[in-house]
Amino acid sequence: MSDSPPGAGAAVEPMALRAWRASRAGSWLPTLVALAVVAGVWQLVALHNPSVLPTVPQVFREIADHPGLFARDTGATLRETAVGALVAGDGAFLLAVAMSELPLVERAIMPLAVALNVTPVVAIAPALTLILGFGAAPRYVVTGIVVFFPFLINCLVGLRSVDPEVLEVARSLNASRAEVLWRLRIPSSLPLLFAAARICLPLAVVGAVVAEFSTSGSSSGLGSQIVIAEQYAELPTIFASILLLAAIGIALTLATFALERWLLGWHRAARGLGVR
Amino acid sequence: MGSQSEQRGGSARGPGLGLVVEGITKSFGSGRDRALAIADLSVEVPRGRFATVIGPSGCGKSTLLKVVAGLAEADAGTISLFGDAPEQARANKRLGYVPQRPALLPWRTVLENVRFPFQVNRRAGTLATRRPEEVLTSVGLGEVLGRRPHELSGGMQQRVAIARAFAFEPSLLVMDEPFSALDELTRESLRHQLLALWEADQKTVLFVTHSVTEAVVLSDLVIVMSGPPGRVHSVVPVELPRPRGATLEGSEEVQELERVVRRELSAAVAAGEQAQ
Ligand SMILES: Nc1ncnc2c1ncn2[C@@H]1O[C@H](COP(=O)(O)OP(=O)(O)OP(=O)(O)O)[C@@H](O)[C@H]1O
Ligand SMILES: [Mg+2]
Repeated sequence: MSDSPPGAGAAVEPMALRAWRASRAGSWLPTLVALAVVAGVWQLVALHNPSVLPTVPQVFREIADHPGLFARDTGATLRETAVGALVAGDGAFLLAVAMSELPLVERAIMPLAVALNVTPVVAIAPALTLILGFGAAPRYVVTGIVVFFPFLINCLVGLRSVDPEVLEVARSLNASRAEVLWRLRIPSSLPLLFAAARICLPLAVVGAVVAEFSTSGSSSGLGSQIVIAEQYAELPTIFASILLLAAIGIALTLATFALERWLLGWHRAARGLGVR
Repeated sequence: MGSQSEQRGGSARGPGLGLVVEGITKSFGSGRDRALAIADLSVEVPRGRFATVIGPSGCGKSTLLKVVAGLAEADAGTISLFGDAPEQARANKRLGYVPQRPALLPWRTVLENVRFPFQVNRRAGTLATRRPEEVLTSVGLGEVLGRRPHELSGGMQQRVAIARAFAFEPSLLVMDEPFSALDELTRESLRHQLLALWEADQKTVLFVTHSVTEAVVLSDLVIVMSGPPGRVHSVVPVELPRPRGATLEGSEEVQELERVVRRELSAAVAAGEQAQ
């Protein structure tokens, strides 16, 4: 916003431009232009280096030619990501509640959680495959491990983010711990919980793909497809899979945004006011 | 108001114990860092009276309030709220605490915020005779029951916090500089709304302020503190007629009382400096 007096801008700015700015289409336009530029550059590079990069139409044709196959693999990876993240997220939330209520639990579990977090998942995945077999199990576990720690930490911080003066008011009313948890701590933690979900879901996709890399021989999934296609140097298949992985990440992020907008209108609005 | 309220700690002005603070000592820290915040402080507020606490910054006003409200434990001394210890009063939900900032729940509407005290510690019940909507209407918030705190001005938020403490009709209201963050005009209007609210059912009130005018206009007695460590320097009785309207401010009697309180306050500051 400029700080010129109201009305001054109206004379300078044509009506049509203002209408366009106000419309929602306007807010998407920069994104679309940027996408078009990237696609254009890609196409140029691909045309000059056919052995390294497939052209944009080639990638889309690849998907269109094998819809069933890609649908199956996308579905598998999406399922691994969603189920792994959901189970691990719920577990992390429950553990965070236990930790915030019982310091003993925090002292017992936190070092383990940190150790698990600093161990690279890429290194754990093959071992898990040997232990759990080449099925879907290690994929869910790896995805879960990736999500677990960031979610745990964010939940814990969120549960502790209640305004201390609000806690004093609750204490002056002799509110029970359960009441404080249910009516104050959990609602206060929701904004951080969603922030965590936005970080963790793309990470979960990474986890699923890493797990698929080490179980590629026997199962479906976009990560498996990439490994197999790599052996035959099938560039369009590789890039089609990458494109679909990006689509999964975007879909999950948008779903989180939508849910957050619906549940946490109060928080977004309050934050908006704070910035002004 | 029936006999029940008399038995349970009473709201009507009349004979009987009010707030009795006897020989309270409170220190923070331990070992060499131990600092005395309140030293052997005694004071009495008769039932149904409005008492303000005034004194230099850091003299222990907030600490006194927290000890009275059972939010902090004194090292020595006794406190009786209508014959009960603070913990008992808290358990019976007979205590209304208004912190310095509004401390509202951002995800709740104005009305839901005022309902909060009714929803926790339900076993204690309340003696409320008016519905939260009515209390909010009486402080001029009848039109914004469905708004969330971020949609209100600072003055409106503070009125919600006061309504929250009044609505469940506790026997003792404890307020720690509830108007300190507001501009002078808002402050003055809130002062009169608080007076109107209080004059309707005359609870016992302990109210911290830095404003001499506020102290005189609101209270039946002004407790002037010195410190740290906090002590009662003197108690100035204010025998102005009630109900007190806006016309009272600036009158000859008020100005005379303000002079007295100001003189006591300077003496208290001087005494504090000598002690250090
Ligand atoms: N949690 C705490 N830990 C250590 N010292 C504290 C704590 N709370 C208060 N104090 C000390 O106790 C003394 C009294 O503090 P208190 O907050 O009661 O003062 P106050 O009269 O309310 O001051 P103000 O007018 O600035 O609000 C101060 O010297 C302060 O440093
Ligand atoms: Mg204070």
